[in-house]
Amino acid sequence: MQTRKMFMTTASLAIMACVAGSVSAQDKAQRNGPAARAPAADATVQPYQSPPRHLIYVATPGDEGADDQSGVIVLDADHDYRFVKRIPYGLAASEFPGPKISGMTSSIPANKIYVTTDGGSMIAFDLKTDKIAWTFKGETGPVKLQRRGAAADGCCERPYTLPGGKTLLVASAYNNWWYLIDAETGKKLGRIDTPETPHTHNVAVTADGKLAVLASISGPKENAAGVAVVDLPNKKVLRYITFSDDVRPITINHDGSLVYANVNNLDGFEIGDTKTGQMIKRVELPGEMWKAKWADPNHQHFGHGLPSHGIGMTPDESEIWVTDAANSAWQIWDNPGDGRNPVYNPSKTVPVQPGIDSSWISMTNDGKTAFVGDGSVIDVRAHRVIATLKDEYGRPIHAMEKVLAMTFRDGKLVETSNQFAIGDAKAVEARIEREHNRQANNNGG
Amino acid sequence: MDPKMNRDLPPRTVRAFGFAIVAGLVAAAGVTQIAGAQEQGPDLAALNAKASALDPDDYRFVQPVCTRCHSPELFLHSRSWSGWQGIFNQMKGYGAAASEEQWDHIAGYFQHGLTFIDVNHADEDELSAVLGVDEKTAIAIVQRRTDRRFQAAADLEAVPGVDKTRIESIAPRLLFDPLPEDQ
Repeated sequence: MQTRKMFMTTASLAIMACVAGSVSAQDKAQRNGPAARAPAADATVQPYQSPPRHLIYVATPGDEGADDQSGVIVLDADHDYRFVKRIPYGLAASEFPGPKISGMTSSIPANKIYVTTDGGSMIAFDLKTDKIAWTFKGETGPVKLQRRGAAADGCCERPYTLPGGKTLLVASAYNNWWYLIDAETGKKLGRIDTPETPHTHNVAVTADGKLAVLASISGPKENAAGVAVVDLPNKKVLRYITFSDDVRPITINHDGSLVYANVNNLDGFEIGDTKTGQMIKRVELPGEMWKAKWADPNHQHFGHGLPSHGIGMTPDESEIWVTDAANSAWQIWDNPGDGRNPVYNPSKTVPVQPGIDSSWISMTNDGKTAFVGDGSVIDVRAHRVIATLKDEYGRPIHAMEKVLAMTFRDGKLVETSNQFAIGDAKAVEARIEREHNRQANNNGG
Repeated sequence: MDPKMNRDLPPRTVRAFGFAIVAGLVAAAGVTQIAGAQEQGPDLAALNAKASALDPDDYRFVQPVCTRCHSPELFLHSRSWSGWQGIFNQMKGYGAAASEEQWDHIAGYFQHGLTFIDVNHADEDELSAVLGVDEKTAIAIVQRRTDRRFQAAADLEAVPGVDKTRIESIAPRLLFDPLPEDQ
């Protein structure tokens, strides 16, 4: 033992001498450099990271399987969105293409994606193996159906991963409750009832996880509200908001104080105040651009049965993007100040593929790229279509409503977007600082 | 060392003990020699001058982090920006550490002086950093290329806001087709 100790001590001394000599020589080299030395590094050493891989996951099929797709299509955002693979749902040929996918979300800690279907299930896929990890079914007995096409077990519409990635908030199938599901195991953790919003559908949650805005395809015509504002930690409905018509897609600002909603029979959107429960503003595209077309019963291009089924905002909340089926375009409103008075900006209009429903928008977390329902990829700052997504056969991918932009390192999910384009507090803060600096520069300050 | 202890040791242990000392000394001598070569080599001053000439202000931030351990020769060639990001990650894995401000300057140094840019694919931030244009001009470049791809430096110079002198100075680093993936 003593021998081994002596051996180790001697070896350690030799190594220390080596390292000391090396550092000393490096310091000398540094001092001999041509320029003065910058402040000493104060950051901690970071572990090795392999280069990130940016992939786009598109869950199909869309409505009625009319897009002729099935499975989750994976595309490579680092290489012109080329096809990577298709993750199958494990269906028999006779079951293809499978039920419509109603939503998609993901979890970083669980390393999984989740797709909800009109067929009464939510399916989790392990991102390491692309195999089904678990399947959640709704209620054990049949439920009272509140809407045509809803699954008898009450499962499932749009899912949303809560901050931290461990819990999923999932809409029932157009019914009046929401599920809380364990992201790792698929076990039901709880339920939130929203009796005044009978057809749950869309959802948005603030980044702190405190407030959820739960939308329902309902409105004054059936004496119902369109949105439930929920205190998420306490699973309690704080208030409801009723809009002028049935509520369709929504987005929220960074603190959830405002909800921007598409509603039936409107090319544009309405704004609701979640603190007062009031609808505070109706924002229409100029009437001459859409009202005559909307009134024409022969017009064929109003997917989802309304002029605007698709709304999102840039993370910094400077712009609100709204689909315009009447003109096959995305219309953009500048959104200055407190976000209550958006201003239509026709110079930013983004035309998309005519005749194809562009009925959704998702954005990358950095707000640089948007993916819209007709399969177009848009450079957000340039307001231009930069690509059209295609599958492994070169066919354009349509009905692209369930899209996630995800970043992987060494096969592990490290960053993910969600299906909804909502405001982000950090991006808003950065924008305010940019505007402040610009103003100061203009003033010569 | 106690001679008695040495006397009691088996021959194999003594050999190992001696080997450890020799190995340590050889290693120390080797590292000192390498560092010394960096310090005293005839080309180092010229390399530092060359590296500094690309951007003297930002090179001040590169030195304590990068050339602290190796010669500028290792990075005085161009890569794509994603390629440089991969190298930065690799260096961090080897222990390169810097403050956020230092990393910003280091990124600026490499983007400004040593980055290939795929003019028809780079996003606005990369265009701004490498071409030295403001955000508005970078957006105009993206808009222009969605209508018609850029084929040559002259196309780029025609975009209002683009500095012709800057474009001429970085012409060899302008790419109008994507780089092979391994770069």
